Amino acid sequence: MAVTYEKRLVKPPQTNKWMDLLFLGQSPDKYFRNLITPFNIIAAIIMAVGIPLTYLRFTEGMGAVSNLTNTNPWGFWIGFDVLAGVALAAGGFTIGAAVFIFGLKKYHLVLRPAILTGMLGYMFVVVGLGFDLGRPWRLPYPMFVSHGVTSVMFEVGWCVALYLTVQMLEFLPTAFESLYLRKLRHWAVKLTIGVTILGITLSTLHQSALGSLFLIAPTKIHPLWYTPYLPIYFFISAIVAGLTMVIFESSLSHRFFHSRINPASNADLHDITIGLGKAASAVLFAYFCVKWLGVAHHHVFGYLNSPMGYWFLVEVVGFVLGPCLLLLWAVRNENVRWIRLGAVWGILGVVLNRINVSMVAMNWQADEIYIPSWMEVWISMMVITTGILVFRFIVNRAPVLAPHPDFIGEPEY
Amino acid sequence: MEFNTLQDFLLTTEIYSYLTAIASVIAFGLFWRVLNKKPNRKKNKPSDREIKTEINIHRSYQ
Repeated sequence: MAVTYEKRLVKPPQTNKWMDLLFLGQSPDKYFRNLITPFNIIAAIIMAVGIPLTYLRFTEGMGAVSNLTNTNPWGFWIGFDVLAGVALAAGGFTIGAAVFIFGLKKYHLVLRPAILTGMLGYMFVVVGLGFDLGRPWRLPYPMFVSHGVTSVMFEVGWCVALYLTVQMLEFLPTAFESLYLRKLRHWAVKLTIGVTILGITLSTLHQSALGSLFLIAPTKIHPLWYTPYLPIYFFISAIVAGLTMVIFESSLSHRFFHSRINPASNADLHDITIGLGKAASAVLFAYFCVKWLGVAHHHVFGYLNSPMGYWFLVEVVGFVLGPCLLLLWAVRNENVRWIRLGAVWGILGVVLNRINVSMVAMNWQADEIYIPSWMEVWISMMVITTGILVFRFIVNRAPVLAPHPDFIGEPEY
Repeated sequence: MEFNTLQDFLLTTEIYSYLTAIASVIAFGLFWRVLNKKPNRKKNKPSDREIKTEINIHRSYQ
């Protein structure tokens, strides 16, 4: 039986706190028996197939597991794992900006899960990138060995590495709380404002820089998707992804980690979800308007009446305006369930946009059409599953969803 | 400057680019107004049904 939040407030006698932390206060036998659940079985199957595929990719090369070619060198791993992954990990910087910069303190409740989701998101983006690059030990080369200062990649590489470090620093107070390291926590809390500002700056830079990567290919990308505004599109849609991911993640945490949440915060979460839904709706509408500005500015209305044009309309009307209007309606009616549904729709829209820019609209005139192999998709599934498992492991052990009982009332920043 | 067709005029002067920009600003203003209107429900609280569900879920863990 799960231990409720109130019961956890009563400090248990600490026999061996490290073992308690690792096995959640249960005996190892009982802990491992409890691990046999439908989700864990599915995760085990994904890993059991994914690990040999990983071995195959790193021993036999990219061609053994992927359909990538010289014509289509960027595929599912870049479009989904990296571009969509970075956007969906934007929750940390959007909520950080709301709480620390705009002073919206009520969102503090979702700050820690947002930072954790962001940190893990970036970590697994780097893992996904490792599959694409092939020699992960050479990841630091552009930074320390061979500087490509004229490349957008150089900026993206530096920003992602620095931002991952920043997110780790932002997460330190939570980690120190779970390890009862009071002095270190005090020191880490003092850094919060500084690292948050640094995090927002770095996020702004690299979210837009990921869009800038595609500015080099004006002749390869379909005119409806190619525009010099791509960096702005990527940045605005990353804010959408961040807000909607926080709504989605908080609703899942509420459902699956109920014993870790203070029941008194339910009403707060209701207000927070409405607030986030409202912000997401406004940003989605702004994004919708800016998308049409791009089309108008480049005189590409003519392309709308073509198969690619119809697909563009599916993306912009179906996956930008659609969730925007649903969120508007749900916010006006204070319907949290529909806000959550709108958030999922918005997330799918951002993922679709990244796949469209990097895969569908890219090389749209080429004879060779890229369709990812099942092994590429499976490896991505394995990376995501690992991310979820690590998230669950940390949330079950660290005070992410609710304050640590021993640190209530202590300064948070 | 002479223009043979309406399309020539629109493309050369980029007037429809400006018109789209103006329309976007107006549309966003209207959207913002609707978004910030008072919510349809008077009280900014979960419905009775949602509270009941929450209580039931919470009890099931005890």
